[in-house]
Amino acid sequence: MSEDVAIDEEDVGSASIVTVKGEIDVASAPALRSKLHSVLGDGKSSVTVDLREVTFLDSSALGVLVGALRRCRESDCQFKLIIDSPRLLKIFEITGLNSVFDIAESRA
Amino acid sequence: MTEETKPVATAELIELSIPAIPELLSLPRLTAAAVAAHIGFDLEEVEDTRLAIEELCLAAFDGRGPGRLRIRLKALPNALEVACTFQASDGSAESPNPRDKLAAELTEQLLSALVDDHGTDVELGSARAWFKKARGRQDA
Repeated sequence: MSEDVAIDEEDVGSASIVTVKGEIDVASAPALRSKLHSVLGDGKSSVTVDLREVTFLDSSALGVLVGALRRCRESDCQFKLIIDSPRLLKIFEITGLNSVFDIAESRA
Repeated sequence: MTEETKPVATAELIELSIPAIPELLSLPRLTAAAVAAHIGFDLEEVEDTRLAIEELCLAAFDGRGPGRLRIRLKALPNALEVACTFQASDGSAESPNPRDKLAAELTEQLLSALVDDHGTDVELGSARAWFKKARGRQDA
């Protein structure tokens, strides 16, 4: 795993929250893909990815998140992103993914 | 005494050559951010430049390898020109494992929004992607 990213998982019943800290780029995106693949393989009914402590995100990261969203939908699972950074939101808006993902500013 | 950042008077050239491996793409990001700040880009423009050069390197690299990425940043008084060239070790610029279509489309969308002009040229043995970004442009 890249040293520039930390990925943690917290399970609450059938829901899972994946918290990412640091930079998600082409080097670290595979670690996120692997974690989400593992979480989604557990048959969770809800997966939330908390990106509030992500400081950089590129197209590789977006591709991983889109892949996870597709997989989640196939298994009737809810997939949600937590983003409170205008910088990250701008990236989702540029790519039109803000209208594809369920995005909230907090876990509440 | 705090000195206000002033645009450079003449063009300055910064060149970087790195092995084309994902783990080293943070180096062009750091360099581009420093150069962008040096020529007076504001914080938002610096961050845009950091993402743009990442996407540029991904476009040039595109699963090719092994080889080197040569990144050339030209700091103009009110703009930054960046070119990233992948040079294959074996002389072939064909990508045995190109990125998926979605990732390539996302790169194109991001570059279109973040910079003023950009493009890609693939020739025998090398692939080159470039962009130009001026200070004070209004984002799409």
